[in-house]
Amino acid sequence: MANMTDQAFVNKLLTAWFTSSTTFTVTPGTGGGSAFVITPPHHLRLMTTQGSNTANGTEATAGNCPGYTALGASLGTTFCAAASAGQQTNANSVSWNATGTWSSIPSIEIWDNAGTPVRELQGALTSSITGVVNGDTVQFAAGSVTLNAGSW
Amino acid sequence: MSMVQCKTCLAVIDIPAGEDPHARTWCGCCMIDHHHGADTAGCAADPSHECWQGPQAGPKPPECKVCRPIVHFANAQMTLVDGEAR
Repeated sequence: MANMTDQAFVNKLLTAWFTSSTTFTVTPGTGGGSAFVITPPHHLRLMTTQGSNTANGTEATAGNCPGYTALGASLGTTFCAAASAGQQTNANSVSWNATGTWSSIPSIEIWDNAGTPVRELQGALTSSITGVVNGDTVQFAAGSVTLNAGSW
Repeated sequence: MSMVQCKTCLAVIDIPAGEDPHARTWCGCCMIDHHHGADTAGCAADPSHECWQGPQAGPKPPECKVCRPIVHFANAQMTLVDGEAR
């Protein structure tokens, strides 16, 4: 049953998850399930094969995308500005300098910074990154990654 | 479409998905010292060679690739759903 969530509540959830700059634990009350931890800074990973809502994609490597480092790059102390209308976007840019020819990048994933990182988001790029060669830069500018929970 | 930018002159262009941006010419920087697979000296010896015609140069031969570095701008909209297959 979609579109029955109060948007102010959605904004609060998104802002807590992706705007907070410090680690915090969500501790449910009795019967509310297990506690879980949100550990910023969140990291953006590049994928050579897109995952799904239940399975991780295949992350790029320094081998097939020279200049990229496994586990991705930090999205900054604060990942996103506060949510509005059920949406928010990244507050900081992320970039990599290619030192060789890259495989195509069709998708990205957002992971936290826990000792064993936890995947939080995944999705396709608007357009795959192709044709990257030595000397090029791959950049996600501020505002280029949109989280859209407007349909909650 | 995706947007790329010449790192030399900062000119930008949108290119169709899946197309190699290094096979495009949009600002003329790729023509500077460019060699079309031949040697640069050969082009320099011919003032009328297309390498020196900048953006007005004709279609590039298939083997020609832009040798200037570029910035690939990426973006994504991650729609948060309930996890059902869609």
